Amino acid sequence: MKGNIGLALLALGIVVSASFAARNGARHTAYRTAVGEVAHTEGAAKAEAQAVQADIGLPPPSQRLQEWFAVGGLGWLGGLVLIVGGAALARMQQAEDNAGGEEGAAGRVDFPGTITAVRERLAEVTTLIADLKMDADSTRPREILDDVRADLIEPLVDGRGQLIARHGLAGFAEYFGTFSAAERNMYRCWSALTDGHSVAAREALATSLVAFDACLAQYQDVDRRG
Amino acid sequence: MSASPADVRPWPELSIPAMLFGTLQGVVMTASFVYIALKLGFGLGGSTVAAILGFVALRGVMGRKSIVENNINQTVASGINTASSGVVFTLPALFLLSVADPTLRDPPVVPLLLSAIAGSLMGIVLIIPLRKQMVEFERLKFPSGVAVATLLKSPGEGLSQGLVLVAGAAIAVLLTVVVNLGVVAEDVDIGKITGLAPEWLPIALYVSAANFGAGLLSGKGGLPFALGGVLAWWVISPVAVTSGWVPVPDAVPAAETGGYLAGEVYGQMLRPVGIGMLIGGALAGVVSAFPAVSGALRSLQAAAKLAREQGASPEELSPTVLGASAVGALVMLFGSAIFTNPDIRVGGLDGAAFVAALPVALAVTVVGGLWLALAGIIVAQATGATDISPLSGLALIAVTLMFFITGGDVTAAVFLGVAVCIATSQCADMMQDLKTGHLVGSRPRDQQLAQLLLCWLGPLIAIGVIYLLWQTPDGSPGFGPDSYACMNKEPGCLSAPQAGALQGMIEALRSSDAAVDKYLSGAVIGGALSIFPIGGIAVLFGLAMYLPFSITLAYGVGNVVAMVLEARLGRVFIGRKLVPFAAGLIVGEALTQLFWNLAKTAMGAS
Repeated sequence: MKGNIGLALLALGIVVSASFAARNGARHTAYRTAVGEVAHTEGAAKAEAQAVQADIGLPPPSQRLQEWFAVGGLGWLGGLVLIVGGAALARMQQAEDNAGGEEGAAGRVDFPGTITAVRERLAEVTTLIADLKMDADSTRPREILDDVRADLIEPLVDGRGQLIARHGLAGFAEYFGTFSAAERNMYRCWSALTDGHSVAAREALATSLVAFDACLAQYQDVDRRG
Repeated sequence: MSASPADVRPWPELSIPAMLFGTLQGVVMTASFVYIALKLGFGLGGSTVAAILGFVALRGVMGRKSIVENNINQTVASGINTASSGVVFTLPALFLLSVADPTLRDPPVVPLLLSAIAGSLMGIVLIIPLRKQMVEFERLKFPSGVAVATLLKSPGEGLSQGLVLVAGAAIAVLLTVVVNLGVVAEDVDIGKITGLAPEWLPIALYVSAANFGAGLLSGKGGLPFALGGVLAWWVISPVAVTSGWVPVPDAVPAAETGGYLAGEVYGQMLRPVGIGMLIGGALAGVVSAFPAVSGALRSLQAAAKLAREQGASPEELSPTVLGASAVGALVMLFGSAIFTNPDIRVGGLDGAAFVAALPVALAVTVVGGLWLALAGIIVAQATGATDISPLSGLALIAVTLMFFITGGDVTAAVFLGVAVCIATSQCADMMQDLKTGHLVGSRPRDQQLAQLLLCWLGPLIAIGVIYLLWQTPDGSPGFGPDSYACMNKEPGCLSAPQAGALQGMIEALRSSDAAVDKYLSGAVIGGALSIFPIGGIAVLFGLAMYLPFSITLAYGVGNVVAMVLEARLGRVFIGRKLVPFAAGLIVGEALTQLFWNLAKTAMGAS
């Protein structure tokens, strides 16, 4: 509920603040109108426009700012208040969701459970490619890697907002960087298998497994510290 | 049975063939894309072309089966070529201005090269520490990066996914040809055609397969961008017009009122506020992401130390290399500022002149370096979220800043504009390539090293081509509206429309027409938006206000289609069918547009 109100306030705030931010001050409006007159009667010649500027006197930057504030400042400030209010409500809602363990669209993210499941599937791949010759058919291990990406890695990545809310950005960064390195080495294994290079594939998979273990340990460490 | 050591061939990655072939492609693309951009008014990305040519040369002809090696080839080629878009938007403006202002003639080459190479180097070293933040933590989509990864991985994907990719590319080819032939307009303004809405309340769609494909790849994450466009054009624009904030001059005929109002609302209101929001959003984003960025930097240092202890190759370039390169770039920027100083340019460098030039040169270096960094982050974020880069707006700010700092020195302002444009292009390109690398499992360090080693080459070639094209035997302009070919409407006319736009902006600056009110108020809104718990929302809204609505709306249609398909057919369908299809749309349009432009340029059409 708070989140929806926050979103509505945000939208309203953007419209109000941006509308008034977009207003021109009095002298600038007069200048644009005069330039428009010249451009439509005598073509958009630069010399004509400069002549208009000389007549009207385009305000210097600081004065232009003051003249804008005089016509748009209040509305702009009002819009800003709405944006900040909406953002505060949305943040409160987010904090409540995370405190209450609400699942959200991505489902409750179980980082250790997912990593364990990933390791189990990768163990299968390890077995399948342990004795694989160079340029041998690698369809099955690549299919498993594709499934791991679609069924386990991507949902975890999509739900990372919950992890950030749980551990803060700094805590999240401690283990998610290692997780990403593990993921990247898993993709490297897929690429090497596609190229028929079983040796490079085994190396990449081993690196990936070590990194998955490391990120799990880092997660548990961050979780313990709260 | 596993392979015996004798059977094992290398699996190349950062190899000499990849570097050489990538360099060759990069050089050819840079020279030709500068020419094409001067003629047609827009640049082209080189990643897709380089990846496909890599397949042909490395995999096909040389028999080198390595996806990650082709990734290096494509990284090198696009890293060199990316300078072309940075240079062609900015530098020619100085030449065009020199037609009317003789003091701007014969701009000094050495400071220009220093500035351009500093920008190129700075762009790369600045963005590398943010790889973890943008690619791994924020998981920005980088649609073109995903498209190139899909291409690189195509030998291993099943036949059905390959067919989906080809189908997407075929549709894109057809659509691009139809649009280029003028059978369908590039912008289909439904409101205008049906008479349902005036031009300041547009219901227009940009007919581009790549734009729609980028929307498909971004899905739900790109929706704030589309919503930003809706708020800007369907709410703010009508509010401004109906409130009488945009008076219509008497000279404007009634039939042209709608177009006049739309132009004023966009050019004088929405676009500058959008630029401000981009700046404020990016600044606030840097502040709020600081814990993650510092965490990422710490993990970079820890990983480098661990790799040293274990005798292994580190995964990222070390902070020492990055720091030293950044210092080198700043020194070059400072050198450029010193040697661009009008007194030193005329009278030569001596102690007194150096001391006199020092304060402005330091200010140029510090402010320019900071702006360059911020602009790089903005472009990388915008490209990551939408595949669209607000390059021209950021170059304008750079030129404006330098114009004021140097007391109206146009040459110095344009030189820094060159540096910023190249740096921001490098940031977007490097991050896009790193995203591709993440998806195919490349070592980030190898990609970073490859791009860093050759960062000087692109600016050198692009600037060289501009100077060559400007020279004529009789000393008349070689390109631009005042060139002999353009005045006589000859096929060789290079009208340089992008530079013409910057030229107009600089002329506006000289007449004190800088939209400081819009930039500042927009920046504060961007900062406030960043409090909202959706990452990058300010940049997305700012970009939506900065761009014409037809692009945003068509992109939003892609977002909605992807969301509906995911809800109905599930995530697996998205990964296995929609991603290759959308990649096909992007690749198909990029290649068709490239060949179309080459053919058009060769035939001499303008």
